[in-house]
Amino acid sequence: MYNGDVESLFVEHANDVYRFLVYFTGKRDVEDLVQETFLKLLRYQNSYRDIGSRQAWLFRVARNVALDAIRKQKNTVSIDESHVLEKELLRTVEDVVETRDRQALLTRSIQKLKSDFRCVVILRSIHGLSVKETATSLGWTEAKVRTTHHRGMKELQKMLMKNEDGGVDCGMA
Amino acid sequence: MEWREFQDLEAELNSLPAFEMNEQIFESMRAEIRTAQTRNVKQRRGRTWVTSLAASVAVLAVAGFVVSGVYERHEHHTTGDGTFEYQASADGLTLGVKDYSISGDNLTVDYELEQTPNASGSYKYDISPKTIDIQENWSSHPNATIDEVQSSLTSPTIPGRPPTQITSSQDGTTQVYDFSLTYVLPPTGVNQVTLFPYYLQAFPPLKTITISLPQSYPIMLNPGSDWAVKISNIQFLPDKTVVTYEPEGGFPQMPPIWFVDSAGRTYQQIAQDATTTTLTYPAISSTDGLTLQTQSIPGGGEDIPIDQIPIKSLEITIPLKR
Repeated sequence: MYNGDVESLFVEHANDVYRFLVYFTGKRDVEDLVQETFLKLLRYQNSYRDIGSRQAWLFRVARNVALDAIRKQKNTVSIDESHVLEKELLRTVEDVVETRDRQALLTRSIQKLKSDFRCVVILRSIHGLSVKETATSLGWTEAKVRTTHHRGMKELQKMLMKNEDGGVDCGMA
Repeated sequence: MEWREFQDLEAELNSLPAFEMNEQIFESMRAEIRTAQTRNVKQRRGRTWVTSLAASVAVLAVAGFVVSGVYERHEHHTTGDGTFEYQASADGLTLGVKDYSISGDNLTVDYELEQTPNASGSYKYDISPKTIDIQENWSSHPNATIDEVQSSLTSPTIPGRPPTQITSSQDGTTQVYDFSLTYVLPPTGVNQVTLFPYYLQAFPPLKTITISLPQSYPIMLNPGSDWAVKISNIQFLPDKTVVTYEPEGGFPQMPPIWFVDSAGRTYQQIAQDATTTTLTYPAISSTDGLTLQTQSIPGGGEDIPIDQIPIKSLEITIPLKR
């Protein structure tokens, strides 16, 4: 039972939320967003109980926090600057994934997916949430989760293949 | 995409690094959250927070959500001075769209929702926008939906985020929520958006727990993952049966319990002494084959299926003028 002890929830799930936000935003310095997610939980804890899984609820809040942050960023950056920002984003993602090229490519490709695809792929395939949990988390129907996940994976596969064939770079540079 | 390729990609994604926060940052954030939590608890003093899953379950189970009653729709749309107002009512709820605006890639809708004290039950609802009246290039996707990207509560009378949950007016006052939601603007060619409000109704899957009687006391019941009740005694008296219990753990409430005899007869509770922790049942003549039954409910970490129940009367269509 969740009894309003947000600190315990933080201890248990902070790194899940952190991981989600790293993949969703493509940046490593998402600590502020993690904190905002849990502070939102404090403010809106009344709405928690009936959502179901607490992890799904947290991802839902985290996603909204991330989208808000991305929107704010978009609104404050001019077109020229945004190009620089994208390069910066790519660099940090590459820094994050200091493993095989394939993983770096995969991580970059995830960033290139449109928001819905990205979200559902991260939740289902990286975090391993069930269809039901993902649906709860995103406020979608289970059917929409299945369809969007399949399309997202297909899109991701397409991007990876293009890269392997020396085609269009799916990175943001 | 072949199934094998799908599986391979899935495995690759699954093996991506599991990032963790820097330990120092983690601890400092944890301290900040602890402070904020303490402050939050103080601010909430005097307000009744839902502390009982049992109570929520009961409320959800009895809420009938009759929405076919009083229904009235007012429309006022003046493009000249920019005012815009649509309003629809159903079952004690009035949903209004006061204005909408289009900016860049976004559509922001300014809502006002009013819930009268006699609006039945405690329920949640959500507003799901759907694009309609689309031109030929989108006609193959008549049910395309648009996504919410941001919400804000502009002048709340009740703290919180109303679009996903509205609790009943338990304090006897009318609750008014003034809020706006921002959506992804539908593609060019879409010239109307219909809002589909719906209730979110959760019915936890209940499982019956059966305990054979008589047995030695205490009897422990575990109706939920963090919910335990100790039955310290059951007295089978000539004129009644009295159950004495002691709540343990996070929930002070007693779950519903009943007796079933060997003939399949059910004995439901007839009284509860508000001043003590005793429950009274009818007299039970024989305890041979008697069982005590209760139901378990999912804990906070378990899934509760949520049904969407459309509130047809509250549907509102906004003609988009770009």
